[in-house]
Amino acid sequence: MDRPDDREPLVEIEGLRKLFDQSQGIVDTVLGREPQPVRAVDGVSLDIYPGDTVGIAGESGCGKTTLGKLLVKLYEPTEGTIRFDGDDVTDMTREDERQFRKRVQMIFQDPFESLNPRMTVYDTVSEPLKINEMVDGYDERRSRVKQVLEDVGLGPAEVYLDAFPDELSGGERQRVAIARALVVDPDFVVCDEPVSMLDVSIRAGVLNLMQDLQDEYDLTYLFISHDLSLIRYMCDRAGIMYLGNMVEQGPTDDVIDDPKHPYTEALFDAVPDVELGDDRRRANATGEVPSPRNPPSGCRYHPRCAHIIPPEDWGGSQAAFRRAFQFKLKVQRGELDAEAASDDGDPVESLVEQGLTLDVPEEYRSEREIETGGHRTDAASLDLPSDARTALDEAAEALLDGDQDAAVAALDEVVTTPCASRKPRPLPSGTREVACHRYEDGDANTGAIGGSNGGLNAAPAED
Amino acid sequence: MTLLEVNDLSIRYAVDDGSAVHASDDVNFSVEPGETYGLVGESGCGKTTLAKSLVHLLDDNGYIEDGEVWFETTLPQWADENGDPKQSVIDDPDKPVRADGKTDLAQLNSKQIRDIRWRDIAIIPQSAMNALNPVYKVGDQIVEAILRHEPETTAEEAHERARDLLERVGIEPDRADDYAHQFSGGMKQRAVIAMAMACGPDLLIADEPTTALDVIIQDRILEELEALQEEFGVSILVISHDISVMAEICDRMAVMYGGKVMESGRTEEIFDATANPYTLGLKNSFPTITSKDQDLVSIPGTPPTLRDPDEGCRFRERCPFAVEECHAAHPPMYDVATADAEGRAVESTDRRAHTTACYRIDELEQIRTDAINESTWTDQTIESR
Repeated sequence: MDRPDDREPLVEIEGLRKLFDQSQGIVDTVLGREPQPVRAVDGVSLDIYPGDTVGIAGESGCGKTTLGKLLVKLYEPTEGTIRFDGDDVTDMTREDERQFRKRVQMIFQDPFESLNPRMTVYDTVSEPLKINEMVDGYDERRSRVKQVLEDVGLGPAEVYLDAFPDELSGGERQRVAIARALVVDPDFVVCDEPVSMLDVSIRAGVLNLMQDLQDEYDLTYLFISHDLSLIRYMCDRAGIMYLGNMVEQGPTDDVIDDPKHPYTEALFDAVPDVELGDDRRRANATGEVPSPRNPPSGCRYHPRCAHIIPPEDWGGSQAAFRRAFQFKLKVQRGELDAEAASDDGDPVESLVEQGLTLDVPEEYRSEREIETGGHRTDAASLDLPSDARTALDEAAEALLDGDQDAAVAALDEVVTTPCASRKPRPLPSGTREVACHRYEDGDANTGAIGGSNGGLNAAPAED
Repeated sequence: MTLLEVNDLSIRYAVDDGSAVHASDDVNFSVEPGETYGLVGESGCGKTTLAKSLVHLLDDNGYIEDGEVWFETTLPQWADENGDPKQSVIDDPDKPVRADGKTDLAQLNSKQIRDIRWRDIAIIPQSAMNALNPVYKVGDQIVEAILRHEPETTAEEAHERARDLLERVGIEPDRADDYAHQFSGGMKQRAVIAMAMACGPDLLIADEPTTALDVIIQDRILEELEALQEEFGVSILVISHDISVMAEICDRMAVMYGGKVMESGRTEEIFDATANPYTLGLKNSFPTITSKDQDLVSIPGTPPTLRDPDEGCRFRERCPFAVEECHAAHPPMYDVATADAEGRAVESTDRRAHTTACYRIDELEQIRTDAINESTWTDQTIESR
């Protein structure tokens, strides 16, 4: 990552892992089963520079909240290091940790749950001061609390000091939560979906307040959100997470306008937009997010990826390979079986044609798929290499015999991809880092994949 | 011909102390066959209450105070062999049936409305993810709905239809024998949509159909709804707070605030020729993915509580354009095209036209210009507590 200045990063994360639930039940131990932990954060590296707002985006279950909690030491990492201002936070003395807790704060998602209903605003906001023994005496503490409340737009503070949370609106509560975080004058604040519970008309107020406070208090933010438009509005840099991995990170505008990772591209295509209206392209991704307990091998995204890489000796197009690979996945998952073969016509052909279908929006479907509601596609119109075609037929025959293992074996030699065998490392590509095999030799790989890829502003495909 | 015609509908929630929450107040709108109509607004604006009241699904303390809900249908016992209402029923002043074949759902009793639900109007509930019963097979739940509402169907036919419906929304028919926990979030949502379509309704009410879903799945569900509409010509009444989703799927919409419709019209009109201070404020306050360097401006203050509200425009306390007049009574709907062309305020009863509830419609150009300035909104003093 080239940066115009040589600032030292405030937070350096390297190879961070957090696995949940590694405990085994007695049955598992007796049966000798390996524990299968949830890999919430699995090898994330990220630098956060002072004064920046770094956004973390991704779908639910991608590990973004876990990452945030690791950074404020609400969780201990399973592996990897977090350095805050040069010091390793996983290995701190008590005194160092006290200092760390003052400098790092968190704002939680739901202000209806994160405030204690039995504490007044004054109690809530002054509590961190007491715990950290920062301000002596009631008067001084009170004036500090008043000051912060006014800074977060709750003025005149006297009106709010003795109020309980249930007397406040959602926007006011979140401002109290922000005040509680800022009262200790921190350097780094992790904001976990800070406005997602608020009404649309008051969100902007809280966001703008956070921006103003950043200048005033000299803050660095980690801004976690599933809402990509908020990331765009708030953040200088953005990281996109998928199943515990950071797939792409870089300056927000670059990441959004010209996404490099296929997942980033799909994610941004899926966001509805008032201005694009009907012209918006839909997300070209198949299926849904798999379980983080047993994530796919290699690149975590490869089973859903539109740009999955064919083996070197593949004689056909990438589009044909993507379909052949979906066929293989369906066979492996047991989604394709003899029962599904139609009674009329050749059963092998009908299985192959079902297996080659793609579960994607209509604009990416073949004509036959549109006609049949996505249940058939035309195998003849794909330029499948002959060995692949043979393998598909063999697999379909094996399925008709009820032999799933043989069907998988028939495909194993021909339908392979580097995406499934090797895990891509995050590598610099232009202004950002991308973890995708297509970018491993610079940008050279992308040409071969075909021109279907483009940024958000690319013209939509003609129908 | 209109499918649904809602006239002056007012809904109240009774509160223990004798007051009432005015969840919806004199709301008018109509939905044409095959159309997607949106009710957009913030939480507590009355949009869900309004939709639920159409098929009598309000909570116990909620009731229709006043108004009519004319829907293009005739109850079986009131219909002749063509499905049209019998002349004797039309002539009977005790039966809420009109000569044009519409029935006033607001006047039906709870037994009668059950014949309307699913068959004529089906609901895709908010958090559809939790709408499936965990101890019944998904297919059986669809079958149950079919058998209840079309008792002449055999169980076998119903099972066959359930599988067809699942296949239609992109779920393998064999999964009909699975339980809800074996479905992913997107599949549950699809199953609930299939269930809503089970009896071929004319109107689907989709309450926040995608709110709990991740963005890529949301994208697919929106596509699915559009495809269903194209295939079956079903009308959809969508309720959402998400303006960008609404902009994409709705043909027409009504922007609600504090139980009132503030602005209604074709979606493009509402976004391109916005004519209400609340809608203008809302547009200022949400970020879009495509635009760089936006300045978001929030609407100061918070939404009203709606408990025995005063006279006057519901938005006046947060509105930078409020004048003396706004405190006297809530404004009627004015025609926007006339205001734009001639700078005059003309009341409109045409519910298909672009209309807005704002007294200062004659100064529309100025209001639009001022609304873009942040200072317009931030400089006003609001009593926030």
